[in-house]
Order: sequence, then C-alpha cells, then structure tokens
Amino acid sequence: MRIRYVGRIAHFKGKTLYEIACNLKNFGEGRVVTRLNFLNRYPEKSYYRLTKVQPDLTDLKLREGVAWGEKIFRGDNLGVRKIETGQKTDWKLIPKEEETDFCKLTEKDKRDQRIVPATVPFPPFLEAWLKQDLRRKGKDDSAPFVLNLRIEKSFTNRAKLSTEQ
Amino acid sequence: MCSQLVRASQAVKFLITEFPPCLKLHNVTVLSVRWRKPRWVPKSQSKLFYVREPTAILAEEYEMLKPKYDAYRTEMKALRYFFLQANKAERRQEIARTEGIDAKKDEVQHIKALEINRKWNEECARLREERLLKEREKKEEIEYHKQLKKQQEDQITKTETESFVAQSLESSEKFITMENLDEEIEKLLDSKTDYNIGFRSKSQKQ
Repeated sequence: MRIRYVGRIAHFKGKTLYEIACNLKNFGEGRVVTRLNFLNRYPEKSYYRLTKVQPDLTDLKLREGVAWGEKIFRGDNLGVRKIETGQKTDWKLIPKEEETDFCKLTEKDKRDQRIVPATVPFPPFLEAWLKQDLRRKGKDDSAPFVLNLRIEKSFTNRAKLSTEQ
Repeated sequence: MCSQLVRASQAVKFLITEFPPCLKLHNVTVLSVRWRKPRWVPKSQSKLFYVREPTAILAEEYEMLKPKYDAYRTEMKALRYFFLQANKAERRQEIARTEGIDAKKDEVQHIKALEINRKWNEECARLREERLLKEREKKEEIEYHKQLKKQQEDQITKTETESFVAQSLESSEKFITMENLDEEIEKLLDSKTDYNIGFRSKSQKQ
C-alpha cells in the first residue's frame, strides 16, 4: 500500500533553547548557540552567545522561558538582546572545542552596506500634476520637486540614508 | 491637489460594485466568505489533512526582485508621507484663512445682538415697573380696607365688652353672697310660683 503522509511538515529539526540550556552549567551562560534555519538560509554566520537563560521549569516540554544573548546575525553584531524565539525547536549547541572556529567572522560573512539616497526625483506624471496645480494657484513652479526618503530606524533595518553615513 | 485626487477616485466609483446596505456596517462592507456551508459543519473528508505546499521561490528571482521591491516600498512610503504633510498644510492654511473671518462676523453679530437685547431689556423693565406699581397700589388699598375693617371690629368688640362689663356689674349686685344667703332663702321659701298655666300651639303662655 502506498504510504500517504498527512499533516503538517516539520520545519524544525533541533531542540528548544531551554532544552539545551537545562543540560548545561549555569543554564548555558557564555555558550554559543545557533538556529539551524539561519545556517541553512544565510551564507553568513549567525549565532547567539548566551548571557542569561531562565527556562520555565514548570513547563514539561521546556518550550517556555526567557533568554538573553549577544546576537550575531549574518555577520553583524547586534549586541545583547532578548531572544524571542527560544521556544522554537530549531536550536543547536556549538561544542566548546569548535567555538573559536565557528565564531570566526571572515570576509564572506560580511554583508554589503545598503546606502539609500536621501532624496529621489518625483514620479514624472505626479510632478507634472503638482506643477500644474501650483501654476493654477499662481505660485512659483520653478523649484524642482524632490522626494525625501525615510528609513525606519530599527535594529532589523540595516539600510542607511546617504546623509547619515 | 489632494482634493483633486479624491475627486478622481470618486469619479471611478461607478466601476466598484455597490453592496446592499444590510452588509454595510460602520461604513465598512462586511462579506461572509462561507457561502454555502454553515460554520458548524465539519471539514470535508477530502480536505481534512490537506497541507498546502509552499509556493516555490526561485533564488535568483528573489535576489533580483527583493532590492527592487525595497526601493519601490521606500518610495511609496515617502510619497504617502508627502501627501499626508501636504494635506495637513492645506488644512492648516484653510483654518488660518477662515479663522479671522469667522471671528469678525461673530463680533459684528454679537454687537447687534447686544443692542437688540438692550432694547428688550428696556421694554421688559418698563412693563415690569408698571405692573409692580399697579400691584403696590392694589396692595395698599386692600391693606387700607383691612385696617378699616379691623378698626370697626375692634370698636364693636370694645362696645360689647363694655356693655358686658356693665351688665355684669349690674347683675353682681343681685348675687347671693354669704351675707345674703339667709335672707334669700327666707325670700324663696316665702314666695310661691304657680305653674297652673295653659300653653297655646306655639308654646306661648296664655
């Protein structure tokens, strides 16, 4: 009989962060962990160096808890942050012997900086429309229309405006 | 400029289907997606374990498209912000333009209203004064008559009491005291009243 697989596919093949932490001294303080999805998705190195892990020991599946660690994501050090995804069964512990080799960031872990121009010319039809509007109101339409771009300032957004370099 | 765009979008409204008013709620058209089966009916057997396969994303296509989409979205956000600011500026200008006008109109109207009110107040005061005067006069008259009446009554009572006092004094002379007692008893015993009298129909002595 042909086997028919039912149900959802498991995307994660690992352990929860708290499962790993519960087997380590000081709940894994100072140890390096990664997410397998990061290793698969991105060519650059991504890992966390744990600073504090507080598993919720009332949870039998060890899915609940809080953790903080120094986040190195795709070659960029984003500093000590709270780890929001500790409950995902995607974590892998890097053994102490392999830590130095793993954490070495080489040239290929470097990502290009994306610099966004501060201003951009208006869409041409819109510019024409706006100029017509100004002329109708009797105002000066000789000044060029320039659109100021705005970049959201958050740790996930690496893009920078050219004026802020 | 923004109002023009709004007008343009409104002109295109005839292309959008108009949903019946029963589906409109708080200016939002609400449509239920479950057309045929009610919500309490369980999933069909063929669809029970259905798992959707994720859409295949070609790596090269993604790599090519992502920066383009990022640029497009950044520009769209900037445009939206630009329109928002332009709208706000227009609104502020409109308010500034009409602020003074309304205030001036209100001022003129206020003065007129005050004048009208003053005239009304004067008229009301005049009528009030007249009415009060009449009432006062009426009161005084009533008061006067009362006083008069009271005086008359007092007089009457006075005379009555005087007469009563006089009568009493008079009759007090005929009182039987301890001194007269023996004499009076003797008198009574000596006198004799005759009850042998006849009465008429109207109880009068014959």
